[in-house]
Amino acid sequence: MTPLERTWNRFWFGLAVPASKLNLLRILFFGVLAVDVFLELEHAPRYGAGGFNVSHIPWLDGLGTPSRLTIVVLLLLQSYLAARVVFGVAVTSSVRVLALLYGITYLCSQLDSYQHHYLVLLLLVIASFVPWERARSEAEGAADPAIPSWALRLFTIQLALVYLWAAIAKMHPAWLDGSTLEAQMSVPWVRDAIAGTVDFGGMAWLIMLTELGLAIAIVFRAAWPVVWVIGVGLHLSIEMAGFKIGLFSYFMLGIYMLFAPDRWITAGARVLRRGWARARPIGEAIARVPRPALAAVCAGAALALVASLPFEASGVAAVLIGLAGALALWWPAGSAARVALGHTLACVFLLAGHLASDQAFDYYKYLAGTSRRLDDPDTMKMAYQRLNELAPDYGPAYYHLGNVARKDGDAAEALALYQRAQEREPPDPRPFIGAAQVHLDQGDPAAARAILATCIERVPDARSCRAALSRVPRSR
Amino acid sequence: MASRRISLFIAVFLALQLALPTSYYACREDEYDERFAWRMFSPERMVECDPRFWLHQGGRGRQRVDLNRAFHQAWIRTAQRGRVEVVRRMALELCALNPGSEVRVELICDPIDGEPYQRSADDDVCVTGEIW
Repeated sequence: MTPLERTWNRFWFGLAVPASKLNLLRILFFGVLAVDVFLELEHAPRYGAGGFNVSHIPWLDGLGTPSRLTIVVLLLLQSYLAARVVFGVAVTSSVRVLALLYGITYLCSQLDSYQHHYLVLLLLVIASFVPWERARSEAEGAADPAIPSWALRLFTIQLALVYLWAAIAKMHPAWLDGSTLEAQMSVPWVRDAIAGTVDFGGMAWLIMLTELGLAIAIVFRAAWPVVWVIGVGLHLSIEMAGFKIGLFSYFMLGIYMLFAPDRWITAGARVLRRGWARARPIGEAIARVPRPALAAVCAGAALALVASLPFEASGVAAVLIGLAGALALWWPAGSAARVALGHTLACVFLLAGHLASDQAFDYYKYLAGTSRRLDDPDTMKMAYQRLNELAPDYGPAYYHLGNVARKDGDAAEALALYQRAQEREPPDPRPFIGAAQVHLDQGDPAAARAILATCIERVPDARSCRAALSRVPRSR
Repeated sequence: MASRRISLFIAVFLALQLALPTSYYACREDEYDERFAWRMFSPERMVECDPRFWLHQGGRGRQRVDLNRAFHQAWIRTAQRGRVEVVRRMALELCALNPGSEVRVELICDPIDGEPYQRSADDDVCVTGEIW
């Protein structure tokens, strides 16, 4: 073996970190990913809209335009898989399938060109080879052994490369003079703080040099405590600066636990393990539950998703999730009770995500708006009807459905829908004008004038109603 | 043997991670296509473009395409960031949606570090397949 080979092997195969640190990284990274992917659901209506798409890789265009339904299924599956990795179910196979599905979703369209999603894709590919399963099983014992992993080294080097290229990109006059940073910074107090201290030019240099320093320091394990302090500070600052980068800062803060001092993580794990020991009887009781009963729980969790998730095609996703749970349950390795519990918790995560967020509402709102602009009345009608079911107080849905009814010649239905829209707060002049138009279509200008007069009375900014009223003939 | 395969995987992975960003600086024709180059918060990201698509239909003169009626907002936003391939593919989509028409493109851009400029395709994109 040559000295170069020895150095290479020592660098790539010599890194070992405590099992507890790998477990913490798994929980934080995949936890944020489960949330991040779930929050992408509202963007699914972009896909396939108007039948147009440009993929990241030209040959993928030959596979056709990805539809919003496909993306919904892919995103729900990914969110489930990421959650079940957090809960320790079939970790290695779940991470590999997750990497594949994430790659398909990301690469199929330039609609998603977020660089942090590209980074997550690369990290997922690398994470497919990290010994998560071994670290998880070590957590059940009393020791916290160091686990070697070349993939974890590559994980860190990937981060170093990102910082290196990010620093190179900033070696540009328009960055270094501070003008680009100033143009992107929107939070007033952060702007004032920078302007009052190092100014934007100084901050631009500082950011570039910090990224360059991190790129170098990450390579040396001895420098990781410094990397941890500086990196956490950098990404907290980026989050506070209000850049529109989704959950990227949270991803990075989670990943940075890898660089935290080992003894802190090990000590924290020891405390947690003592807490878990008290819950051991519960685990043992679950372990005694017969496999058919566990299968019934898994199937029940998937059925709850079918019944509760309101996204289009979420039923298909739930069936696939149920199958994925069944596959993990009957896989020869691992405890059936742990799989059933993890699968059920991952399903509960999806349900909680739906109940705690506006994803379904935003999904149908964006779908309705897109199909209205792109002249797809059937989809638009379906989307507004679903909005009515999800949020009966959302006035614009009644207004747009009223427009559909008016175009279809159903005056009574249109007036009823406009009436419901008029009752919503804050008052919107458009349903009054729509109702007036129905009356005009029916040759009843007096009724049109009356409804526009009501609009002027009720709506604070009634300029459009006044303009409409001026156009209504005084008599037949 | 396993470590050799792993070493090969690492070497290929690293080579790609060096080659893809390098290609942006060395040979990428579109400076606003910063994908795979790790150019977060770059000056190029701040460009504001106005993509204009024109339909020429025989003797009826030219007509500006209302992009909101043809494409999702997200694609229009991508075109406004000056990404040439997306603009080209939008033009080709308009060719497919309007058979028999000529499609021409203008892209007026205002970069953060320079003067506004305009690029336009003088030839029918439906024939050439390229915008410039």
